[in-house]
Amino acid sequence: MKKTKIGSYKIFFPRLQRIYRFIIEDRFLLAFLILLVSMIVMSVFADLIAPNDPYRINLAEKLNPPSADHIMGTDQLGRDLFSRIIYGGRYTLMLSAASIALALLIGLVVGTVSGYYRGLLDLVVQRIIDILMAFPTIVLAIALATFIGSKPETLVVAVGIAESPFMVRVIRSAVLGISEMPYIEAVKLMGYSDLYVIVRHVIPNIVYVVIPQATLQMGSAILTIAALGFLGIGIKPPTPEWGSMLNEARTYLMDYPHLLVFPGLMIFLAVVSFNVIGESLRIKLDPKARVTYSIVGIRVGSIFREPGGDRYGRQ
Amino acid sequence: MGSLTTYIIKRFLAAIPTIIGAATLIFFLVRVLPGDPVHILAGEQTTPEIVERLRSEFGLDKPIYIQYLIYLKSIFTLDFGTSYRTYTPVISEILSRFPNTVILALSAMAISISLGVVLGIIMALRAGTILDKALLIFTSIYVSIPVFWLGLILIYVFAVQLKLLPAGGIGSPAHIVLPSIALSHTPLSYIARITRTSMLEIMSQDHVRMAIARGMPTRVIIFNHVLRNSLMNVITVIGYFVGVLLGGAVVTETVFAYPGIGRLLIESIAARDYIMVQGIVIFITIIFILVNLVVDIAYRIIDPRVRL
Repeated sequence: MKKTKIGSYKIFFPRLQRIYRFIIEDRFLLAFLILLVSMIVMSVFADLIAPNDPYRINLAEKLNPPSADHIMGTDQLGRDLFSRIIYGGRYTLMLSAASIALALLIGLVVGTVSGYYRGLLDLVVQRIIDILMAFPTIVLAIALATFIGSKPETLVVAVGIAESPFMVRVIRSAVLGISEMPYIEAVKLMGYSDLYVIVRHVIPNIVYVVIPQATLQMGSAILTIAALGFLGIGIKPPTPEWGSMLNEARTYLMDYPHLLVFPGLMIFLAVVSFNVIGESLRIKLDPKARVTYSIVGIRVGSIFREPGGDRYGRQ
Repeated sequence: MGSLTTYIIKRFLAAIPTIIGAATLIFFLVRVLPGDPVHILAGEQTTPEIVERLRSEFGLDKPIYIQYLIYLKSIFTLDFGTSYRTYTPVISEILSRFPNTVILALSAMAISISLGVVLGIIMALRAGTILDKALLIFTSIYVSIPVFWLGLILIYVFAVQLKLLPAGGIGSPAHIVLPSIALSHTPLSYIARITRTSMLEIMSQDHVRMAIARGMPTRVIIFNHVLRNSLMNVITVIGYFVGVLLGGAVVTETVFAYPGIGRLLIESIAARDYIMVQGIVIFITIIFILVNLVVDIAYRIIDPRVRL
């Protein structure tokens, strides 16, 4: 037992060290990492940071521009915009993270099983993924949210399902490559169960694909959650979600642009951080990867025609 | 040629199960929703007779498998039923709005291809320089802007402040400018990057080195040898961008009050017109699948090396 621990420590430590050095060397990446961490900290400790109650209405101070009292100004009901932005991160960021966690779970289970066992099961799963991919992501999310409801839980399910086909595809193709390796064959011949092989030998080797993919898809999930809020299908007022705050701001666009600036800026900063970090992680962790053009979390590159496969990486 | 015909037929046949699958998914989604659309339609003060009449009018009194078969038939005849809200056939409502969405998507596509390819060429020819790096950072920042926020900013700057362009609606060519700029931003950034990478890839190939060695003018090499080949890669992803554009159109049309099918979708959701919602989602999906099919076939015709 002790021996394995030392072994995995030895394998893992230089890699962590390399990642650490990589982050420190890349100033651009470091800046976005700090930005992202502070946004997450801000949402988690919203109770401590927010100067005001995000729901407290004060009509005497409505639509004030930014000032010393309210650094981002107040909205149409006199609520402190800065506090609403801070609490808004809880909804926009946390719901997106939960959606990606769901997509990741679906991807790990379906993608691994499909790639490991192949055969008829894989064929059926891939056809289902084709069907899900036949919907533009946001249209699928809109349809799901419309029909199963727009409570926070159902929104997570809607966006998670809409994001999952990309995760399944990426994980499946990584697993396909790994399970052809001779050492997997060797472990199987030693008589270990499939579950053991998958958990101990397959999944640890696809982590380098999964982490960047999940990070990149976070950008896409944030855009979807915020778009749903903006369209009035997602989180509804008075809950401070960044997308739905922008929707409320539309009415006051002419005279009170400060309502428009801050929620949009937050969504943008969150998305750009996840994209930059995801992109850098991919370059670092997956150097063998073909050139991919993933900007909004979707590997456009993976739908490129590669020898022997079609645009979706089908063989 | 014979193999091409077989290929086209095969691809068409392969698209049918996907369409049926997508339609089936939507059918069962609509049925699991908790609210009863008939009750919503009949309103608060209603009698059981009215509810019954509406139920049979929309065919909701039949067993579920009969409903499903009728529904599947309706997909292939493009008869999506009658709107709960307007009592007009769903398909005629969709078809009256669809040309607007096509115009919007095409102009967004035109902007993103022309600007994206030009940016891509500049980046590839100046690869490694400050200009290249700046444009790379610009594309990754530009693509991260939420389309609805970009739309609102465009309205604020060009319609409210500068009063140059209309803020929304339809009527003149000027109305299409802001929505298509907003809608083009995602594909534009992708296309710029794809053009850059594939140009760099091709520039390092032997036939280009050969052309340089033979002393051909740089312009000829860039246009005839490099660009032509790298645009093939751009064509492959056009089908994918149709999905991006159709999805983006839902948001963009809402921001600019532009009467396309995306806005119709959002209006119908707000009015709980589920028959219409179902029809629009299936319609968008069929369009997406068919466009991808056409792109695949076109690609196969342009590049005969592709075997699928």
